[in-house]
Amino acid sequence: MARPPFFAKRSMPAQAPAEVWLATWLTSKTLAHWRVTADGASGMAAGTARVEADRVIAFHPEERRMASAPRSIESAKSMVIREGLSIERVRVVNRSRQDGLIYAIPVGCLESLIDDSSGSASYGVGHSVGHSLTAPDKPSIARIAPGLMLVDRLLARAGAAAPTQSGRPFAVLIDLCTRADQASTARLRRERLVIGVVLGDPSIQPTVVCSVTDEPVKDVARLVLYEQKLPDDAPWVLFDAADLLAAAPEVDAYPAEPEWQGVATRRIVNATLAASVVLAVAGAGYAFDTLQRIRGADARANEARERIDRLQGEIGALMRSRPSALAKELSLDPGAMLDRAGELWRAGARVSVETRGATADYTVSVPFSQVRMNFQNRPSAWSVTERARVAAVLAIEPPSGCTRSGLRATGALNEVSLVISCESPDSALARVLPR
Amino acid sequence: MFCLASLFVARGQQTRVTLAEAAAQTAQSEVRTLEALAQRVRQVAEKAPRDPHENKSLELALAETVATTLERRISDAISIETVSVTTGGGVTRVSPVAEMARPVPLSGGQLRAVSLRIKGTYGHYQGLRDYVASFLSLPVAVTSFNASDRSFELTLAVFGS
Repeated sequence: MARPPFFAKRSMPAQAPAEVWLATWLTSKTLAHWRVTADGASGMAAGTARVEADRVIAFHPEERRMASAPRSIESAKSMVIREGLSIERVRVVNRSRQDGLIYAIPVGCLESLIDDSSGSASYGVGHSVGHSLTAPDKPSIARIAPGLMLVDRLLARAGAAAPTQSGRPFAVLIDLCTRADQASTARLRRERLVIGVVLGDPSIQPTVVCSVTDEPVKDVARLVLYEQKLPDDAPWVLFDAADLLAAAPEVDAYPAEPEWQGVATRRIVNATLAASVVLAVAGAGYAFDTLQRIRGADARANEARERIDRLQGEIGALMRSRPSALAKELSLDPGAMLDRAGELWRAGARVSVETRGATADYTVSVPFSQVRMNFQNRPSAWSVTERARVAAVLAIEPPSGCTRSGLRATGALNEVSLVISCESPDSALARVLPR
Repeated sequence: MFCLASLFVARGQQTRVTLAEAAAQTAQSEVRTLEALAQRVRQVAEKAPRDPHENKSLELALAETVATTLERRISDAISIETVSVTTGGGVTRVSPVAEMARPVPLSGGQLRAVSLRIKGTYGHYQGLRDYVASFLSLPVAVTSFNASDRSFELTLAVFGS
């Protein structure tokens, strides 16, 4: 392939890190970790990245990349499953709003990239860097970032120099010379880590090929294109360690733990537990307060009952010692009732008295006529109409504390009556009357 | 579930509090009523002279009342139709006086009462007045009184230990 590669613009931003960690799934089916500096890539021992790196950009064959309209994290996860890109739970880097892209990786693959006990191996190129598992400034494990996003960021930084807009499939090659080459003058051939990614056909997933080789870059590019059955003249673009270091800060990491709506589930669980504890403490406080109130009310009730017993005993003793006085206090006063009946009496009228509890009803009745009977007990023509007597009864004013009813009459209208109701003052002793 | 269970328990506890406080308020209200009653009874007792019927048995008080009922008939021009106990098994059935008695409320069981009904007619107004007044020397309270034309009906509560 004589076609010269596109070269990305090289500009080292001020915030470019001194080193970037990579994890690659090599063509030899082994996992290798790399520390990339401006000088190149150094192969690292298994587990080194776990304790030394903050973030590892991983190129894993199970990683997926898809175009998407803006959507939420949960929706992005659902889309990955729905599109059949993964049958496992995935974690995603959701760039749908910024770049229209979603990166996803199965959770199991993510864990295998971090966990050094999962059988991963370091590629034995170069020298392993010694490390401390108890490094005090690095207590947490490294987070994994999508390698495909690194590729996209490299292309974005390349701008017009990249064949992104050509509409044809193309290859991206990241050529990283290894530190071993530079350290060893005995080796004639330059051995390099080459990461090749084929992009451009939206219907297929990008293909990642990572290999350690001493072949020229153009041969590696041809190999990558060949494996994807692309023609030899397909465009390809080459980046190096400096490009990688410049673009790396723009790569987001996958969530380090399960999330729900962008919030780590551990934080949700912790918040729920904290709320439960607060609720439990509040419940216990409420229960204690309630118990105190019940005890207080019971104490008041018991005290009142004791007082009731003492009062009943006192009242009973007094009643027993003065039964006649108590009876007089409780008694109606028939003499006074008869006196009042006499006051209400009018000539020619009749007065009756009837008690209803503490109320005495006095009924004053007067006939319309003074009937005189003749032979065979028939009304006589000599019957006298008692107009004045009826008027006298109608003129009765109720005594103080009494009420007067309206006039009443029999159906035959031979007698009229009215009722004067007088109520005795309510006595506190009325309660002791036997029922 | 935890929240629902907590709410359920809290509601039950609140009901218990409400019931306990209601019981306490009822008891305290009863205390106030009894204190007023005790005050009234004390006043009555202080005003009254030494009672000859103190600690008199109910049986004796009832016998004296019935005797008075019958003794005053002639002098007061009273005609008795019936004298009956309203709280008994019947007019002809023989029952212990204790069965006819009702405990006087709030006396702590120390005082009992029998309700006696007297029906009759009277000859003149003054006779009826004197007849009723004759019971005032006994531990007897008039609890109801009806008089119409020449007939009357009187209900007495006879007190005794």
